[in-house]
Amino acid sequence: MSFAARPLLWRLSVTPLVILVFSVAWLQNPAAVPVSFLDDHAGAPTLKLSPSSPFVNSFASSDVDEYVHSAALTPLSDNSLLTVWFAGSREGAGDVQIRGAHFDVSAETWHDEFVLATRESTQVGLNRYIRKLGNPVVAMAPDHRLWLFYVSVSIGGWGGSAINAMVSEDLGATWSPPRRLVTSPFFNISTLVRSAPVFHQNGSIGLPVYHEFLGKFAEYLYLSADGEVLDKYRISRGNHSLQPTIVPTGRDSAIAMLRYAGTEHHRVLASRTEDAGRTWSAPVPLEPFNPNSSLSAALTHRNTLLVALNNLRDGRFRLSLYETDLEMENWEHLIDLDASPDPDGDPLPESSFTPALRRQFMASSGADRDDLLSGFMAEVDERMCRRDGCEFEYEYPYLVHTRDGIFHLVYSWNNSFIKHVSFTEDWLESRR
Amino acid sequence: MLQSVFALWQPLLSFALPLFLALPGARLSVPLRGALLLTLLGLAMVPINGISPATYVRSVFDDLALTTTFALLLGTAVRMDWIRRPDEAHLTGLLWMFAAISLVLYPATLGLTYLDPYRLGYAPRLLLAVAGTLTLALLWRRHYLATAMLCVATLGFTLELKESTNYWDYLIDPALGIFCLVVLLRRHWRVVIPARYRSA
Repeated sequence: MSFAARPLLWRLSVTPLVILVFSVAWLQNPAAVPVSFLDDHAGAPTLKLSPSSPFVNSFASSDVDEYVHSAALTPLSDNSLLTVWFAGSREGAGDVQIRGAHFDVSAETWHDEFVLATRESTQVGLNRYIRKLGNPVVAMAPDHRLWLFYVSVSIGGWGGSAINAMVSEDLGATWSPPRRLVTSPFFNISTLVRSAPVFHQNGSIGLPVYHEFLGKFAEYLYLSADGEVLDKYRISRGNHSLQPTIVPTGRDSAIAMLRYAGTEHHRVLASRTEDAGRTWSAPVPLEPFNPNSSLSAALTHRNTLLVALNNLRDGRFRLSLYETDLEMENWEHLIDLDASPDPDGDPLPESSFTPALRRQFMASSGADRDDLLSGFMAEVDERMCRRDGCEFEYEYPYLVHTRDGIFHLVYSWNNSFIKHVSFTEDWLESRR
Repeated sequence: MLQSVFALWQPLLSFALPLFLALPGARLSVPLRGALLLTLLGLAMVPINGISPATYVRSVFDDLALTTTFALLLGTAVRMDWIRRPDEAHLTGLLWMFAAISLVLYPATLGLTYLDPYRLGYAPRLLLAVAGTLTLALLWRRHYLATAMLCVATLGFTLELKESTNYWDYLIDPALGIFCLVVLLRRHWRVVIPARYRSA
């Protein structure tokens, strides 16, 4: 008599197999609880600023033709810096590439930019149609592997984004093919990166991410040291917060500052964790304004927070540096890194805009990029001017504090160049 | 290795099998149905602007769940007269099960609350315990099809057949969830939509 005719025997026979299948899966997948944060992962000292120049700036990018945006930066273990950004004919265009440039410490100059990823290379690597590329972030892991995470979209707008990871074992000389991180059950869409990853003591990676498909909220993605998604934790909920910048402040504590994308108070939001990222407090508004723009923060040597942001109700015409205590109650303005000559950021007529832009270029470019001025000025009309005038924009800061006591900041300078600003702890002390 | 093989074949099946099942092939002879299936599998590989239709489908729908792939293969086997159509009551049970899972899982992705059931799929011991218990219960209630689907999904998760490290992505995908919800709504729309909102 067959099994089918004897259902009890059939079920008795299959039951151990079912138990085996689920038991193996159960044994293979232990819980992955985040361990404490790594308090010092930066590599060897990088930029040797002389005492006479405790605050310097220059352009990291060198292409004058393209729209550039969303820069990130990391110190490398070979005593250099790597910055990455996206560049193309416009944001969201199919020709947008992920580009990078190395900083030569001995010469204190940025090398020529190079391409890290394109729509085509991503398409081949992922075996998927790719419509456009977006925000990249880069980070040097404690095991000296270099990670690049960047956004790509196959269909729709940024709400259709997914995150890709590439890793380099040789400080960026060669890279693995891109690999897709699966972070959402709904066709794996709507997860983006913008801010610096943080590391845990076992080498695992904490990647701040956000969603913007219908809801706009932030999450903490917990990855293994090999870049596999182990877990994720919600930092905020709803439809009003994006782009968390996370600063570990202790073994298990960290602060997340978030871009405000709502319509109510237009202020920076902050959330805290006391268990290495597993749970986060409900975000609360802080003193500085936030015009729905990206911000970046780093811990200082005197246990305060340094924050680069557009402290404006509207527009991105002034980028400033602030310092605040860990309670985020007292905010001190340190410097305006870049600002429109118009205090309200109103559009300027071309007659006054052009000379002001020329002056700002010369003050920002650094000696090696001076000769780009004429080429850049020829492109200005299309990129920065509209019928009602021309506008300045300084946005998307990305701040890193390296072990040798230098702060490095990169940001979008009029969406035309990636500007690099570096300053010492001594400079910070002098601003008190 | 297994993941690479799966990534190669799964998009082809995701493109060809739904089309094969959607096209009215019931009146065709079995050999013609087979020819239609092979044609669709061939079409799935023809590059358009350098990318095959199967790749386009993968780009939009991502990799389908193992349960969906299993269901598509099963449907194809029925259409090819290789096996008998499963018992209707069991199919209805599956529709309810996947519809219920999708209603638990997908609304939470909008971020309305801090509750995120998708998290349970990473390091999913709790979810495996629940799914294992459910599978045994289904087995002993003679729902062999559902038992097989859940076992295949779990085995696929153990073998890491997909890019995803999340168990949910082996159990369900939005295409399966939406399909089940639509079929159930079509069957029960009179219950769901009050009479005064229905057109005469």
